[in-house]
Amino acid sequence: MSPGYLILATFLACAVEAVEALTIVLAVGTTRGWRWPLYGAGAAAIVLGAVTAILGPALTSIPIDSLRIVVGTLLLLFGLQWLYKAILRTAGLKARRDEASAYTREVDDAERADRPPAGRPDWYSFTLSFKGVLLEGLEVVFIVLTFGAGTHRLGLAAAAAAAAVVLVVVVGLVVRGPLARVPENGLKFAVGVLLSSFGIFWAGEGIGVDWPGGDASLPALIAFLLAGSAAIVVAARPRRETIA
Amino acid sequence: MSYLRRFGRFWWSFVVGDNVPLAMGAGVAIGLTAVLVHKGVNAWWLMPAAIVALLAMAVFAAGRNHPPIAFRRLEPNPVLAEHARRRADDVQNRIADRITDFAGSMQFVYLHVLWFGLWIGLGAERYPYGLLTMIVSLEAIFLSTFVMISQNRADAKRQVLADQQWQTVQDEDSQNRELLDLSNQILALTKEVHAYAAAARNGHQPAATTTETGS
Repeated sequence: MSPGYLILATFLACAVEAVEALTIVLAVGTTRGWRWPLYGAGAAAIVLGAVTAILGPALTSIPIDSLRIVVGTLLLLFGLQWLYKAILRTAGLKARRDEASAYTREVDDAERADRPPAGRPDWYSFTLSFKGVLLEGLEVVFIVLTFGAGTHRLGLAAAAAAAAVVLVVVVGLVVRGPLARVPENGLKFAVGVLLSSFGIFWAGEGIGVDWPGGDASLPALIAFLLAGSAAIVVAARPRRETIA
Repeated sequence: MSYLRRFGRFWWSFVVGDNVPLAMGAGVAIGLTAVLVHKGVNAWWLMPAAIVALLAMAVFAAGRNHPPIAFRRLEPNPVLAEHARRRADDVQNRIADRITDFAGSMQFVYLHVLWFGLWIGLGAERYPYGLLTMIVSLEAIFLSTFVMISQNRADAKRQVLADQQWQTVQDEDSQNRELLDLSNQILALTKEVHAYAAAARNGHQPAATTTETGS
């Protein structure tokens, strides 16, 4: 299987989650100082790295067929969550996430919270930043682990995820604000399709399905899910004339 | 214990998400594929088709339960909202409404297509499918009752709207009578003013007003 899919899926998923985590850290950092939010983000990154380092080798030691059933099912469940929400947002049935307003909300909350005396740790900033990065990062770790274990390319998946984090942080530093222009919903749609397709493919392989054309059926599976999801968006989009 | 429960709930919502039927449906699709593969059928088509169908059902259900963002500013008719709230107080009504909603949806059609397809395709029984016929006959008896329940529900809604409209008509009638009375008083007053002005122009002492203008 081409490593291109692995790099694309982990990179996109990680970029989206990094944008959301960056919004939280930026909001707390610009309002209350950078030291404690950065400690929080660093601590979360260490925890996430440790989880990847511990669970990665453990997962890859599972026999490939059992692993593919487990990994495929988990990826499918996870991918369906992303795809379902992305379809609802694209069809206008759910509000899209707006990084600019999320940033403003976080800044307001951070300004209202009590500040510690000078020289004392700012646990509010640390906790908020730690929790934000850890929760967003857990989704990335999950995707890196399942994709990496499924293809036995854990290092490549982790490198793609790390590259996305670096890119988002660098762009965030240049822009000096939340990355509101990133088409988050489009990226989530793409990641949802990729994760669900891989989930179906691997779960199928694990239970003994003989895919027509072998690995070559994967692009067809991705195209089918993409077309099906697009059709659902078109069909579910509200028609204005019905209430006129 | 509460920590353990919260820990379990976090991982459940992390993996399964907030749409449990969607996740359960995906699990059933994987299970059915495994059964078919075990029986020697290479059912590679089942999971992709089932996943797209499940997504469609979940999205349409969400669209029905939550009006589109563009239309959310429209306030529901308070009388209908109150009627719905009172109706929902009774658990029997809630159950009947859920069943009639589901029985009248496309999901119900898809489910039956899948059920009949699998029943016949997997050879659960031979032609002429006696058990299947008995099950769907019983189902049809209950469904016909639910059709009537649905009609009663629609009639009750229409009655509530008709009562409200009749009340509105009565209120408007009363207001119209008051407006007519006021108009008549203004007309009488205007005539008196004209008469007074005409008498003053002709050098006569204006006569005292005689018309009762109070109401």
